[in-house]
Amino acid sequence: MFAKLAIVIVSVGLCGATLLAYRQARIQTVHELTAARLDSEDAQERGRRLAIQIAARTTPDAVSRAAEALGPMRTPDPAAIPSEVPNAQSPAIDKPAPRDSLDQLDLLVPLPDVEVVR
Amino acid sequence: MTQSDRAAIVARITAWGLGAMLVIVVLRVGQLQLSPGARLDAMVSERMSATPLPGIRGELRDRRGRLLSATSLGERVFIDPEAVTAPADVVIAQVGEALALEGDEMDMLALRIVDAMEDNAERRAARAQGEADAPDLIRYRLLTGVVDSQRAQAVKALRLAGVHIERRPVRSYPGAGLAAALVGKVDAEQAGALGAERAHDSELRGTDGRVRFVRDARGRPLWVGDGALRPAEAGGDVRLSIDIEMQRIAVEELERGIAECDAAGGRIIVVDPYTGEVLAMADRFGDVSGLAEFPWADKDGNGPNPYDGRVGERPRYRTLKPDPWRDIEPSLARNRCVEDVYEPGSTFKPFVWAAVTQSGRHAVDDIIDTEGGVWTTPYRRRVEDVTRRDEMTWGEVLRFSSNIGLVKATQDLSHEWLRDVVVSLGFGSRTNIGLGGEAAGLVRSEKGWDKYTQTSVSFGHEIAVTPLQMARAFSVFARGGDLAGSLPTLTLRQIGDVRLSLVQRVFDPAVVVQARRVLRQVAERVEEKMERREGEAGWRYSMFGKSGTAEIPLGAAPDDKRKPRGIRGYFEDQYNSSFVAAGPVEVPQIVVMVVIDDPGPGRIRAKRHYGSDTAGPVARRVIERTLGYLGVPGDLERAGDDDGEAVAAR
Repeated sequence: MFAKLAIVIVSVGLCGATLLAYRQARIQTVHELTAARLDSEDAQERGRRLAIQIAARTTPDAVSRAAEALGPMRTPDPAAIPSEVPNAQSPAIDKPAPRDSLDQLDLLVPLPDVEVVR
Repeated sequence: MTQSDRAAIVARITAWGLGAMLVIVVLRVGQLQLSPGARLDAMVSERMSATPLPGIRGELRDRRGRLLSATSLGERVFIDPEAVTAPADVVIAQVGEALALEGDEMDMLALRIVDAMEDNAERRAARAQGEADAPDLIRYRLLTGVVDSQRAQAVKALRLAGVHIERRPVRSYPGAGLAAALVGKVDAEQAGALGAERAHDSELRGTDGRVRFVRDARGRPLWVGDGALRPAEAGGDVRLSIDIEMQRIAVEELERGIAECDAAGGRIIVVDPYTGEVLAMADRFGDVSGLAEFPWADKDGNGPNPYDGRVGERPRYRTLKPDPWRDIEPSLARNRCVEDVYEPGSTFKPFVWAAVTQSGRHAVDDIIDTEGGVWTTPYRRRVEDVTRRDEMTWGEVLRFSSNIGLVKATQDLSHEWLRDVVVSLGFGSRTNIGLGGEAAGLVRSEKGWDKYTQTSVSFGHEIAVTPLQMARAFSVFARGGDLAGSLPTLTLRQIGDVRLSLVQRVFDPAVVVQARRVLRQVAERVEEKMERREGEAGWRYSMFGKSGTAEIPLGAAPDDKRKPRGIRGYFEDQYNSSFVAAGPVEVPQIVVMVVIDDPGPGRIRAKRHYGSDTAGPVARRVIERTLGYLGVPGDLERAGDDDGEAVAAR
């Protein structure tokens, strides 16, 4: 009888503990899901703020001002452009130039200033 | 009883005891979960917090996706006076320093903090005395408006008990500066109050959510339980039909036109005639000083003569209704393109001309006796032309804007017929574009339409329209293909393609083509003048259009005042000059409507106040720049040969 009762008590205890553990795991999951969701909303909010900042700096007026600040527009000088543009097989472009040294490429030559026609 | 029996009894009692204790524990847990006592409930409640999650309002973008208005979350500082542990002066000094406040702003912060704490002290005293109607303690008092995130972080870093940051939606208008009146504004509750924000409010509006969580001893969020999060739903985005670059072109050219004409104001609308999309819309006031209020007479009609002296020597009267909100906040400005009507004058003639042509009464080459430019109607009304000729062809009647030719063509036609034409062009009815305060314009009722009205309407008088209505009506000449001669439904929303809907054709396509040819000749006169006067030439795109110049009505007299004796119901020598145009001629892409309000006395004296001299150049430049921006191939090109002759590209 004692053994039976002990088994019942232990079983009930184990069931309770299991249920509590399950409940705890579920709450933990919900909590983490919520935290992830709130983090995601924070990221979206940062994205929105950036989008607003970008939009404010790229209005037609702002772009126009930036273009004017760069000085007169330049058009390519046909004489300065090689007649044969290197293709993908050309050793000249096998190894791409670093981005900060594009001005060393032969294709980009100093060009005469021309008036901006608006 | 043996020892083993005794052991069995003890074991049984112990087992029953343990079992009973287990049951009690289970029952107690259940009771605490389902029905906790008041004390425990209060303790748990103190540790539970609920935070609203704002439903972010959707974005307004222009037709190319550029952001016009968007919502982000701003931060405000608030105080919970009950949770404040530091002395008030410490809180004021630290928060003020973190927010970098000075002077009046600092005083205001101090006032709010001290007020909140004193209010709570009074309420606490009232409660202690057992007053039944003692108000609840203050747990929330706002200290600032929206502050930048740097300052909000500085306040957070103070870690002052009772001083908190809350987030709230803030509407920003990064690209709407030039189109503020169109984009509109939201109110304090983030609901659309004006312009497109109001028109599309139901789509843009988000749904707020909420999250409940358990806080730890320091008040930090610790735990979110099942079902404690109700996510917010963001509102939908809306793409408007306007193009912010076209808006910039329109505003730049309108402001240039206003300045060149010393005008009191100007209005401009650019419309896609096929889809009915409004591409740009702007109105501006000119920088004109020294305008005088019109001197209304007393009730007996006695008063000074308002027109004593020559133009330029006598006062220039204010013809535009004041708009004080415009300077305070551009989005609060009255949108005069849809709210203020004007007499269209000769810009109305193409509609009457096309209707008469369609009726078969006159063909383009018919000769009309224009009486040398001065004529008296059978009912003794004097009618004059600016271009005075003995006779004109029916086409020249429109080209030279002959009042006499049009009056003669319509005087024998039925009043109902002419009124039906006017109404079928949308005059007298709103466009329902969604902007608040839109005027329907004025068209005489059938009953009130008499022979005077018949004469006046034939040259665009005795009728009042908005520039938006005029742009819509002129689209009948700009639409081609199956839609030629039909009226578009205007919209402020990008639709990208022609709406599939029943179309009511107002004019036959053949009549539309004839009208375009004549109106092209009108536009060429504008181009000739621009080349002669300003040296502006070399246009890439052809256009057709019509100018109009109409006197400005005085409007209703104020209370206890009346119109001075001997004065007509119009401002003398003050006009609304307008030009409505479309281009390119063969396949029109845009319709441009320009009104220059009240060109200055210098223009009047030089007789350069007409629509073709004031609004025409603005329309010409806007068409040229806008079509170039749209990448439309130029239909006029300068030949590279020596004579520099302009040739049609197609």
